[in-house]
Amino acid sequence: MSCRASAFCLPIRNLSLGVFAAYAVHAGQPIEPARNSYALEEWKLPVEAIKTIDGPLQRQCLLCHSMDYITTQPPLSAKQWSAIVDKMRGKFGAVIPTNQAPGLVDALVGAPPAVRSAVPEK
Amino acid sequence: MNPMHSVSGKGNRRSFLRDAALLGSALIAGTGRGADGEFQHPFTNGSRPLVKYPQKRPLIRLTTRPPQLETPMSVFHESLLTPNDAFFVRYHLTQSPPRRELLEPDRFRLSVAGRVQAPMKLSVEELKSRFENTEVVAVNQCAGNGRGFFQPRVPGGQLGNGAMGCARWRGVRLADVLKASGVQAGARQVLFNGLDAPFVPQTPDFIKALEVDRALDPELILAFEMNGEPLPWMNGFPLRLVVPGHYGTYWVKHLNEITVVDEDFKGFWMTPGYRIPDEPCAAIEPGTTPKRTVPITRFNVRSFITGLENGQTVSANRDLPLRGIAFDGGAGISEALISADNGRSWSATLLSSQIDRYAFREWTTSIRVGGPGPVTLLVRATNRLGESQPLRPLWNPSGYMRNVVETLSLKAI
Repeated sequence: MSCRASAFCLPIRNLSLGVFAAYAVHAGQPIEPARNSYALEEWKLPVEAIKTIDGPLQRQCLLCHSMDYITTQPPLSAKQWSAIVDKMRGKFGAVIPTNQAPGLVDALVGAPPAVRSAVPEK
Repeated sequence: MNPMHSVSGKGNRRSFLRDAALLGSALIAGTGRGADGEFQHPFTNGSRPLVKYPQKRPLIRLTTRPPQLETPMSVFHESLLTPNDAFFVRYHLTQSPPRRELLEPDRFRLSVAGRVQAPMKLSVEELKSRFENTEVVAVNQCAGNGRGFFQPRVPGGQLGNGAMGCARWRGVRLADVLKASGVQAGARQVLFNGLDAPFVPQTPDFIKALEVDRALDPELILAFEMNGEPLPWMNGFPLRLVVPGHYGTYWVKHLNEITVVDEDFKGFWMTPGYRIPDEPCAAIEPGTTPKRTVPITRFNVRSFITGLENGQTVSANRDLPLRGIAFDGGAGISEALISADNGRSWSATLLSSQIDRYAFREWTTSIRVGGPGPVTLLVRATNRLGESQPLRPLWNPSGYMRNVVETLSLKAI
């Protein structure tokens, strides 16, 4: 049975709020609305605000991921960072010219520990 | 608004470079107000901000873009079902979570295609009404849960033990949907892809594969609800795959493409991603390289003491009530034991009734604390197959499947 055809069943679809809820009333007894999405204000991600970081990390790593992907790593050797740079270039499509890879590894070995890099938007 | 959402992940190189420039300036231009607190893991570079995300309470943030959030251990003491607003979040690709506009009910469709008789495109409402609805209470856990504790340390997401949670998942059986579409003879695998997307098109999309037999297991669910609510945005709204007992890597979020194929899928996230040494307990000598690897699958046995934190003080010469959780890959927990003497002797705990063999199982007991001084507690669970937890940590190069007997250090005063 189509909801629209029923006098006892009233679909409500509030597009402007981004809330979609189906209300049903049977024999005068309201049934809890079964929501199937969230209100618009529940879809706001925190603003990502990072401290200005110059150099190869900014240009080559931070396009695809935030700085904390680097700063939360344990102390890693140049060999380990080099393997990660190779993976980013070879498997993930990072645009890192061959002659810049060693400098990038140096910068990663000396990367600062975790920086507070983002905050929620109120 | 996340600046990622103003740029497109697809397009020609010129638009990519323009987008990249826009993104760079957006990141620098952002301003902030500070986090909701600080969390410190007990390992180097373990400082994390507590940050509030939409539909979430402040959680331990591992990374910002894409977002990865950990659940504080205290949450597991609140209830056996992990509340939606505290459930961990793990993403791989830059454009995550996908924009709301792609996910709303009037836009979102699940496609079932490939080696099937009748390809389908279904809204979540159509899934709900066409197929029998079912539920499972199951733990989801990241393969790398506890990676930060590995010694020697390994690269990757440096998680504590908070990348796990237990929820009531409601949806329809994947098997019913696959049968309705008619899987063709000779099909080998079923692929699962969600709406999260990379920033550069060269980055492999996050696609997971299951053998057809596994995909037809009636336990697997296409879930649209979690603990009686629509899936939270960051936990896969509006649809995700639930593979009870299996690591979260298979629980594809924002699932919009199911493709049946007649080959073994070789995408990055199946190989070399998410593979473990083909050895007992997935373990090799620390610092070495595995000879052969296989895809990660089921959870091993884990257990935790909850409600007490390392370094906490307790009363000397008193009974100390203890409570915690245990889980495994679905055989079911049969025993959880406590030791207060570094594993020389073990005492039984009382297991609460089992909600579901895939769920957290609660255990309770109490121990007598002696005189003032350090108190070290261990908890060790066993499942119905006799599998248990090692007293010394095992190691693999990806930092997967930690399940050592955890140690809690208290101080009696």
